[in-house]
Amino acid sequence: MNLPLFVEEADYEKGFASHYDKEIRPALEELESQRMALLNTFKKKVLKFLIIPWTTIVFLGALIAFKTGESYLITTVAYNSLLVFIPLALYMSHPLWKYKVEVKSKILPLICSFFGQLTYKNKAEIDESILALEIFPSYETASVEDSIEGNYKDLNLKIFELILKIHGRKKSRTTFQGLVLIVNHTKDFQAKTLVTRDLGGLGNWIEQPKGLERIHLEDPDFENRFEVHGNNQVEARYLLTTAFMERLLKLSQTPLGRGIRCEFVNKQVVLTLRSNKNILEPNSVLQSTLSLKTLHLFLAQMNEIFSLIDALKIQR
Amino acid sequence: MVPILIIVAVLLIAFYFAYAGLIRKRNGVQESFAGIDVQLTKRHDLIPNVIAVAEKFMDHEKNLLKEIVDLRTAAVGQGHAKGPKEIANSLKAENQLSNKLGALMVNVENYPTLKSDTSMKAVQDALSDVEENLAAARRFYNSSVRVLNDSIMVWPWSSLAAAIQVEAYPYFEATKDSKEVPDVAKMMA
Repeated sequence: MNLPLFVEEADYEKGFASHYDKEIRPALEELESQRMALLNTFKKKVLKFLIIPWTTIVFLGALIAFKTGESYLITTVAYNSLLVFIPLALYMSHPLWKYKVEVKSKILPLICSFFGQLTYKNKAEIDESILALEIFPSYETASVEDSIEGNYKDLNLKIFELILKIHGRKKSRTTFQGLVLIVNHTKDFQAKTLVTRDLGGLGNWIEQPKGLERIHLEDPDFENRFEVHGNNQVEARYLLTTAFMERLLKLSQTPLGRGIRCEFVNKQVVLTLRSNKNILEPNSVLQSTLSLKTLHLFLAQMNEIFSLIDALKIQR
Repeated sequence: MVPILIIVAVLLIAFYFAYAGLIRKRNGVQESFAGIDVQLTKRHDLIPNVIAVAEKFMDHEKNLLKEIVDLRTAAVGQGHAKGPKEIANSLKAENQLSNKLGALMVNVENYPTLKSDTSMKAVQDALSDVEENLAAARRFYNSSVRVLNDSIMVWPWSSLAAAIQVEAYPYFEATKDSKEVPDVAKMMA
C-alpha cells in the first residue's frame, strides 16, 4: 500500500515527517487495509441483502399489479418494503461508523504525542462548573467528544469538542458548537477577565456582562476586534500582555478563530472557538483514511492553539 | 426670562458634569498610580534579600550593590506620591533603580555559583513576578493618564481644569538609558 509521504511545509511541522513515518504511517496502512475490506464487505452485503431482494420484491409487486390491474400495489410494495430495508441498511453500515471512531482512537493519539504527553478520548466528562462560566451561553444539554488531555510544556491542558443545546417544544437549538481549550495556569487569579468579540455599540451593550467593568487596552487593532471586561484593571493587563493580544488577534483571523472568546478565572484560562463543522474528523469511509491536507490543517490549528498558550507566558 | 433661566440651568448642569468628570479622571489616575505603588513596595521589600544573597558571592560588584541600596532608599523616601510633580519624581527614582537592578541581573550571569544558588533563584523569580505585575500596573496608569490628559488639553475643559487646578500627569515612559541597546560587554567588564 502506497500512502503519500508527509512533506513538512511550515516551521511548526519540523520533525513531524519522521514522527509520521515512524508512528502514524504504519497505523494508517493497517487502517487503510481495514477500510478497503470493510467497504468491499459492505458493498457485497448491500447487493446481496438490499438491492437484489428489494428489486425482486418490487418486480414481483409490479407483476402482481399488472396481473390484477391494481397499479397502487407497486408503490405500496416499494414503500412498505423500505420499512424493512432501511433499518437493515443502517444496521449493516454500523461497522463503517465504528471504523471512523476507530480511526480517531488510533490516529489522533499518535498525532497528539508529537506535541507533548497528550492522550485522546472519544467521549469525556465535563465539569459542570466550567459550563457555568460567563464565556458559555445558556444550555440544557451538553455533549463532549474528541477530548485531548495531558501536559504541554509542563502545563496541564484539555481540548475538546463541545455541543450545547436548548430543547424547545418542537425542536432543539444549538447554542454552542466548537472547540474548547482549558489550560491550568501556574498562578492563582484573584479576579475575572473576559475577552469577547466586538459586536458594535448596540451588540456590546446588550451582551455586557454583569458585575464587570470595561477594560480599554492600548492595542487599537485588538480594541477594534475585541471587548474586554474584568473586575481588576491591573490583573487584566497582567494577563493580556502585548504578546498574548497579538496571538489572540492572529488566531481570530483564522477560520477556526472567528468566534473566539476567552476567560481567565479560578486559576484557569478557558478559550472557546466556534465552528459548525466537526474539527477533528477523519474522511468519509469512501475516501482514503486520512488525507495529508487534513493532517496539515490539523497541525496548523494545533500550532495556533499552542502558540497562544506560549504567549500566555505561564511557563516558569 | 424663562428661556434665559433654562439656558443658565443647562450651562450650570454642563459645568457640573464637566467638573465632576475631571475630578473623577484625576482620581482614576491617582488610583492607578496606587496600583503601581503596591508593586513598587513589594520590589523595595525584595531588594534587601537580593543584596544579602548577592553580597556573599559578588566581591567585585560592591559599588553596584551600594548604588542599588542608595537608590532604593531614595525611592522609598519619595513616599506615596499623589500630585503630578511628586509622581514624576517618584517615576524618575524608580527608573534609575530599575536600570541598576537590570545591570545587577546581567552581572549575576558572571557568577555561576550565585546563579545556581536556590535563594537567588527564588528571589529572581519573585522579582520577575513583581516586574510583570509592575508592567501591567504601568499600562493601566498610562491608560488613565491618557484619558485625563486628553480631556484637559481640549477647550473648554482646559480652562476649567486650570481654574480647579487639575493638571496633566506624566506618563510612565522608558528612560533614555533603558531605550538604548545595552552594551553587555561593558556591563560584564
